[in-house]
Amino acid sequence: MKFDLTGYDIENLLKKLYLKKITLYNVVRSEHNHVIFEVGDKDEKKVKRYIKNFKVISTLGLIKRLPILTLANLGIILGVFFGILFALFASNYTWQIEIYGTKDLSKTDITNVLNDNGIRVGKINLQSSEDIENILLNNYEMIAQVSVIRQGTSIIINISEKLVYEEQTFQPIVAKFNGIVTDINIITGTTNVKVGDYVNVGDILVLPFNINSNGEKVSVEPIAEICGQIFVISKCELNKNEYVLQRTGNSITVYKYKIFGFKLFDGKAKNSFALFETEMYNEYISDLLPISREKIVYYELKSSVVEHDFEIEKDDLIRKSVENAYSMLPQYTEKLDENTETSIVGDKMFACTTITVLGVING
Amino acid sequence: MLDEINKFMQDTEISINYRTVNLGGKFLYIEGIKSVVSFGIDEMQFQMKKTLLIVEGHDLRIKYLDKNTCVIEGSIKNVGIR
Repeated sequence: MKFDLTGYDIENLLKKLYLKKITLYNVVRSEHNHVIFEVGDKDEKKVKRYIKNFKVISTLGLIKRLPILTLANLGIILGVFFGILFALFASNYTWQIEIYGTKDLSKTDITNVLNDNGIRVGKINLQSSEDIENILLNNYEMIAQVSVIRQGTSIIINISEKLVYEEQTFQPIVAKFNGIVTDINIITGTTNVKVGDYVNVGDILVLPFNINSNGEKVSVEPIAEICGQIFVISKCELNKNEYVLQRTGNSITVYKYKIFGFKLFDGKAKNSFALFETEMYNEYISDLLPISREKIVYYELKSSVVEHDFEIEKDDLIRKSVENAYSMLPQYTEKLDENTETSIVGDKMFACTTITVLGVING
Repeated sequence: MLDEINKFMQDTEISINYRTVNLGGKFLYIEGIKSVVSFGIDEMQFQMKKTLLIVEGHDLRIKYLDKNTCVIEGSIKNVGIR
């Protein structure tokens, strides 16, 4: 603050200011009653208290000095101005896009969608956070919630994906054996049969759902044990005349040569048998060379008829039928019945074994 | 040199009441002022603790004045005490 005063007893004024610890600058007394001096802005009010007896020609306050200060510090002011301008300009650029919270959605896909809408790294992005949120919500039905935050020149996207409820499908319990249902033990699921029903293999015993209190079907994995009388039937047959093929003892060996698995050339020998069976071998000629040789041996066959005697082979046929029936049985608690019957129809003999047990129909 | 003088003053217990430094007749630094007695563009008088300091010259102005020190700018011709 600059003061330009006229009056008397200037020394006394200076003395007062001096005693009040007011620092003075550039004190000039051009005439005996004229003084010009400057004080700091904080001392302005103090000085004004002591200059009441003086005629104030002019005071140059902070506002009046502003143009002078501005011109004096033009370089700094311009530097600050352009610095702020550059900061404002640069802050509109996006230098990083961070995406969090994705599980099934691809971050690359999301970035591509943002790019298509003009939001990309290294470009000026004037779209608001809400605009970006709407873009993502409109493009992805999978997104339940999205929040976009701008932090400096970064865009931080937090995504919550919708929980996808996939209704599980369960298979019903089916009968693995033919039988009559005698007992039903269900833990989960809904029964499809009742005690006394005859079921065949593949029939549905327990359905894969429960009925809740609202009468709605709720899908569940059926767990149950359906017990009953299980019937296992085994049939074996024997033809009186059986055609069999036998080797005559004649054979032809044919060679085929290969290199790296590709055909190289075939040997001269050719198969000339009308009825034959073959045996094949693959062997390498040398441990060093990649040349292999396929050896095919053709054995000549002849057909002949073998006549069976039913009386002699009946017991074998029955044993075979019973063994076969037992091999088909599940684990059972009690055997109720076993019966094997034989019959001859034409030139065939049949053996039919039926075993009845108590067991679990669904295996 | 100033350090040696200060040391000498301390050793001999001589107290100094003021100090002036004349910078080529263009600036005068004064320390130990008690009050301003008079001042004008040709002459200025300052009351020190025990003496009166008189500065003579042309186009004198007080560049800086606070409770203890003062810097005078101008064409300083003579600094004396009374």
